Amino acid sequence: MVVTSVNITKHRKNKDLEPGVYGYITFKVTDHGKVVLKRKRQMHSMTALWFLTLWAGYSITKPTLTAYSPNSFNVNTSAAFSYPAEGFWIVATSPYVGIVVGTGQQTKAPNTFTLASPVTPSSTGLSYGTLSMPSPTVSGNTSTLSMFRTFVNNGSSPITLTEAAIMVYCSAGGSTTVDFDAALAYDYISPSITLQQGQTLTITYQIQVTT
Amino acid sequence: MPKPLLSARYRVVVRDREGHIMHIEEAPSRSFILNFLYMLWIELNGNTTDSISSVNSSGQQITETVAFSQGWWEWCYGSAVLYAGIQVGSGTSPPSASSPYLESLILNGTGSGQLSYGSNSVTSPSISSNPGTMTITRPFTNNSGGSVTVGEIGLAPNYGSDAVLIIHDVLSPAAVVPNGGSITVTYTMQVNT
Repeated sequence: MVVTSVNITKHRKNKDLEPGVYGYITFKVTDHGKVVLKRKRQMHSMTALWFLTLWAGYSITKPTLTAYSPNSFNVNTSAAFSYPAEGFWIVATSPYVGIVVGTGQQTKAPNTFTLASPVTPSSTGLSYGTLSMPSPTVSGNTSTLSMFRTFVNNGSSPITLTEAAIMVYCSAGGSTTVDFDAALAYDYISPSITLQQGQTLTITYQIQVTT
Repeated sequence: MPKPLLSARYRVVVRDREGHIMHIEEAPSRSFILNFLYMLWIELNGNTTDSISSVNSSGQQITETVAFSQGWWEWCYGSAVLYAGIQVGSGTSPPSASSPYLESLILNGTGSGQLSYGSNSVTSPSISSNPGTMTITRPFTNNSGGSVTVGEIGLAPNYGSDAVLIIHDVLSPAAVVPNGGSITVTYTMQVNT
């Protein structure tokens, strides 16, 4: 065997960001219209769901997913989830998909597809607004996809939030399989955010690519 | 230093007609392009009627109007969507955010400057621990009668019957595939949580 040239780049050559897709989360809490907290941090945990859907048409060993039954926060570990999704989407008005929040925390892994302790939407507790997701924008070499949702504490007790996720409704795409809801991204809210009675939290996700 | 949410690496192996390895290039993929976000956005907006730039089964650049009730992206249906999966081209210009195509797609065939596209193959993903990975590989054989220079590569899931480019990389140096030889491209997708 005669190898005439080998060119392997394992590490970036300078202090530029490592190439790839980056994300950011902004948390803003308002109280009667007054901003009382604003925080932006890097998004850390996009799950493997995005590429699981991409090879759904292939006849290869498919992983078992722990996910939610559609339109609920009920975990279903049925073997029916062993077939990957062939598509996923968000119904903006559903509180079970889009940006969701929780009061627990768990070890993050590429197959973390649920929250540790999701907050069930309630008109007397935490209410979920409609998800907004404008079309991607381009600025120079950077393209950005954004989405945001507001949450209001309608209850009489404070609610401390420690986790957030982008949940999507997944179509398993076959008559013998079951649709499900799963996290496309899962992140800690750290430090936690405590919403007092009447306060509104707006969470904005931004996913960016740079060429 | 922040780590990317998603990243990819590519590996290119060029062989001569006897199967001897002539050249190996491996590097981080530099360019997820706007089409990636646009396709993700269309996917998430499941009931949206919109259009997206893609390549049809003849290798022609088209703007496809998509109307659907659910998202639907896949690498490919075997050979049914010819240019889905991994594509190769002869261009050498740096990718731009909003350019949805390879600069100059190398067409499937045995004519001058063409390569015969093999089937994409995908490994089972590893997702239980970091990093989560999945790889896709595709061979291209040169039966054109002359050498073919591959200057760019890309990854393009199919959308319906067409292929939508989401990653675009320029090889440096370009890979020269001799007549009777082959080039095999592997993309490894990765998530870090």
